[in-house]
Amino acid sequence: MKIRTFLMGLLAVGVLAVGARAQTRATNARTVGIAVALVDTLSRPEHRAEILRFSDPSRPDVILLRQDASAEALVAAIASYRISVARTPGRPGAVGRTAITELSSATAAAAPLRARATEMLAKVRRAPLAKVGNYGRGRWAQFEVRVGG
Amino acid sequence: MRLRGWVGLGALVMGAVGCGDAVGPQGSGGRDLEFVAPSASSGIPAPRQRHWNSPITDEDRSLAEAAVAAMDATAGVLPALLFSKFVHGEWRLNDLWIQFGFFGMGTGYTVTPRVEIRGSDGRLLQLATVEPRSEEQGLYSVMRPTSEVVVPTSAFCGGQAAVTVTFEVRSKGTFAGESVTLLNKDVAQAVILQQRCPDPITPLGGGGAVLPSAGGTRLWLCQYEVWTDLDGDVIDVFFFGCTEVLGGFLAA
Repeated sequence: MKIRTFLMGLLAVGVLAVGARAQTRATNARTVGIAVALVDTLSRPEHRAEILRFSDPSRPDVILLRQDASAEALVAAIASYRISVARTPGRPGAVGRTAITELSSATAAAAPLRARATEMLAKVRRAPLAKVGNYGRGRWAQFEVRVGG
Repeated sequence: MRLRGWVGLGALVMGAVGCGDAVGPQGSGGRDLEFVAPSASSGIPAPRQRHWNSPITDEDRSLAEAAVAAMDATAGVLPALLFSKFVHGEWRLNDLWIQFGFFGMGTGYTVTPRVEIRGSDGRLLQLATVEPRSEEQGLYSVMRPTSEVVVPTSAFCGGQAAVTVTFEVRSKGTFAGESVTLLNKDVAQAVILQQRCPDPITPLGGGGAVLPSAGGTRLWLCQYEVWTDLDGDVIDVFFFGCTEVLGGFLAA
């Protein structure tokens, strides 16, 4: 009896999990938590933004921008993050760093995301100073962004 | 009771499996954001284009050696000779590396580099001044100095650089009791071909594009991605290149 209950429970979990996975794939859209951080310097001077993907459920991926970053740079970084997630699956035990080296500015195409990016940056700038990984001190805040779809 | 326990377990597993969208620590600011990003010094793809212009040849060398042998180094003023010169450069990401030099004879020289970077429309984007290099040899002798300079550019994907180097060789001496300087000047120029915009992201279309210098209606990105393992060793490098970002990637 115990074994049957166990197997039934396991089966139910499996069916639900598979169903949820299938639904996720069908819509291919989901929301993930990311940290947006403003720091004094990025890992290389020519980088306009960096995106770190940890493939680790215990920590969010991180978008890093310079302190004086514009909303346009955050728009580009979010777009870049979405492109990276779409193209490169996460790799447990590995860290992905996407670097944006150049971006066009003040584009009409960025308009849909610009207002939100402006709000996000304002929130980050209100956050107190803290350690930001091995990038030194900076400010950061966590957000939900949609990827896929 | 047991069944309820299993359903509860199922819900927990669902949380971990079905909704596996990893969200790290909630909240923001005030707390340290702990992570260690690998060093950025490795694995950076460097699109390179190389252009050579007038490298020194063996013929130049033998000519110069013959000339030295034929001249009497004590005979007052000897001509300043400039047999050959070269300029070449390459883009390494956003830095323009330039090498130049000459092969000649005299008692001193000055090398004056000038770098112009233009967009695809011919508009001047950057004019770099590089310190002239000057040296007095004293004695009349063979000279073959080379220099390498790095010009940081403002990430003009698609930019093209024209490097002009003026070489001036001089020979100082005394002729009939008068101090005399003879000059020989020449110019070498190299056009460092357009900094390559890396291959486009196929699904996004477009590509190979030159970034608009400012504004416009479209958002363009140049980006690359490096994956490293926990030891910092590079696993993969993806050069996404410079592409137009479209549609869903820009959704609010």
